[in-house]
Amino acid sequence: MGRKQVQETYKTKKSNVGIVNSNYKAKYGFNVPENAVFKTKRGLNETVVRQISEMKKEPKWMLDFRLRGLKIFNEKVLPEWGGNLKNIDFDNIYYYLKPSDGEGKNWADVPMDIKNTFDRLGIPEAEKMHLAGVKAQFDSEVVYGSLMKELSDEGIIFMGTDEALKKHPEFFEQYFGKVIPSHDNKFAALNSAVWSGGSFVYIPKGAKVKRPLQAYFRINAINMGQFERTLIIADEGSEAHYVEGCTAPVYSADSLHSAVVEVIVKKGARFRYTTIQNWSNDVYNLVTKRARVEEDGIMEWIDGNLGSRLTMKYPSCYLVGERAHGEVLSIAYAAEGQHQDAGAKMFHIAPNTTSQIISKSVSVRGGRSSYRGMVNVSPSSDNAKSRVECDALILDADSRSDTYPVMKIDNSSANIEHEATVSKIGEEKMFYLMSRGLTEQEAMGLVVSGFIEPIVKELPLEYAVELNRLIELEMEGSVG
Amino acid sequence: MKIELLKSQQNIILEPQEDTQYVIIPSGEASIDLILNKQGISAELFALFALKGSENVFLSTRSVHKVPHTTCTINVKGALFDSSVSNYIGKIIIEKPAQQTTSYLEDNILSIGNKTRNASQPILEIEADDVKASHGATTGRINADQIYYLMSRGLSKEAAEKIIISGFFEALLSKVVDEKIREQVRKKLNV
Repeated sequence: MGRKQVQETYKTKKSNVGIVNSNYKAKYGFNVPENAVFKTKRGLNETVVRQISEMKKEPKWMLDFRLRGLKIFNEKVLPEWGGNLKNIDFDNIYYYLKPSDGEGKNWADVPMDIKNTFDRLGIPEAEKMHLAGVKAQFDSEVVYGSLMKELSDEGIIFMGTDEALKKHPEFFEQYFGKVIPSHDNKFAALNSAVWSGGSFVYIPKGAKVKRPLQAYFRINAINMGQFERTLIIADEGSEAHYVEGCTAPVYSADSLHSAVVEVIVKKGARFRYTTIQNWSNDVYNLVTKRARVEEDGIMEWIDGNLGSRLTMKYPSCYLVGERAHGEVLSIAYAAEGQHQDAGAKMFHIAPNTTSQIISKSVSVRGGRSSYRGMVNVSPSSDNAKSRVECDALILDADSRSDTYPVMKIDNSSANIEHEATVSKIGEEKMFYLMSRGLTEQEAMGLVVSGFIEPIVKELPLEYAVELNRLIELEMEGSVG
Repeated sequence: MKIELLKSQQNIILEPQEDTQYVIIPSGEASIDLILNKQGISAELFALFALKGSENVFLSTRSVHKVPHTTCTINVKGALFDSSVSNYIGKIIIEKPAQQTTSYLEDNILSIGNKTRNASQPILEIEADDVKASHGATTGRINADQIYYLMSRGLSKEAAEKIIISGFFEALLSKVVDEKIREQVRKKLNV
């Protein structure tokens, strides 16, 4: 196909997309009218922080924690590296919004309009399918949560962070803000000041949760920032899998999502945290995720970044116990107007620790994806082993791909490997598939699916199906 | 292919006009910009070093592809004895017009001493799509199986280690096109 012809096809396809989008609201209607009971004023100051804490009837120490976070946030400057953060207008954001009175105890108590949104998200279906438990976050607070009886019978705690702070304060005094202190970075400080919602998970000693614990997140108010705070404790010898997926309606104004996720993996425990992020293309997604892994513990982060305007997210593992293992599987997909700055960090602190990072990124239609990673072996970590593999695909001449890994090795017994490749789809692969009767677009879709397959196969089935469908949709109009 | 043995210093800027192989034994701080600004050109840069005592090397290289059809290979091999320190930043930059580029970078550190430290940052910045760019970086100790194998053939542990270290460098030296330079490098590395 000639270049001109291809451009023509691309144009027609683009206009088709326009037609689809024109009745988007009527058809998918994600944009349910806002019905907030309480909203703080725009902007961030001490009064707002005090108001949030008061609304939630929090203990004094949490208010102090928030105020300290605010002070650190104001002192720290925006990071100079990574994506462009200059356009975030911190004064034009609502930092807290309470959607309706209290938490719904059961489905019947959940207000009708919120139910409508959930229906469109398919959450009731998810329940019918006997998923382990569904925590849905509407705006900043958990309004509906259902836990299957077998979970609570085993002593597993799975609830909104606000609720858990009231019911299980003992965990918070011991663990809250310990893995990610407020002064870690500017956005962790911001979250510490205004956090709201998120999940709290406690898996008792030896408990093995077979089905994934799931949480859904949505942003649904113009310029509404989401600052959820998740705290997870996997006690000795336990095993569990936590899944969060995000869908957000389309808004023109920029919104900010800045979560903090802290995971503690105790001796011999195994925990997997899966995220598929598909924020609308105006969201800044600046998230701090970190796990502390003790002796013989295993932590796995599976991180899929498809949406948002800019994502800066580097799930990390602090391997503090002997033989601890950390793993990150990351997929990034950057299309027009998007910058995915994703990666992983591994800190080897104890001896005989191991880690692995596999990252796959796809840049298309002017998108930019960057891998940013860190492997740090401290002097106390004898015989550390780490393997990093990042592969990138660039699908057209307008797109960009970068790789910024750092390996800092302060122990001479370490065994560290890093590999990265960037390439376009091989012509011979396309030729082969097309000679078998596939169209150019089908062939390209197939190659991209194959490229990310090693990570997709680790996802729960419904997510894998969703992701493949999403990639297929995204690939429309990228041929050329 | 033209070959050049470079003197270690800061701000070395290379803009080859024909296919060229550069060899350097960096010491202290050294930085090299390798600019590929002529179509069809192919360049190689080999950096080799063996550090003893508390010696250190801070090496940075940039391969900048500005025009289409250029090829660049960078190979760094360092052996760290005692408490020596190495720090390497290797950047591949492929600018928008530089289609049909092939660029490769590899960095291998063999740590022999017990108090060595090293850092490595292989970076890719790619704005063209029809390219092949990759890098690999490894840090490791001498493989115990290899020592065992050689010792089972009657070599002492020291002799076995020596063979493995020299093999580590020879794998790259064998690609150097000029025997005189190869010998010079061997002498200077002194391993």
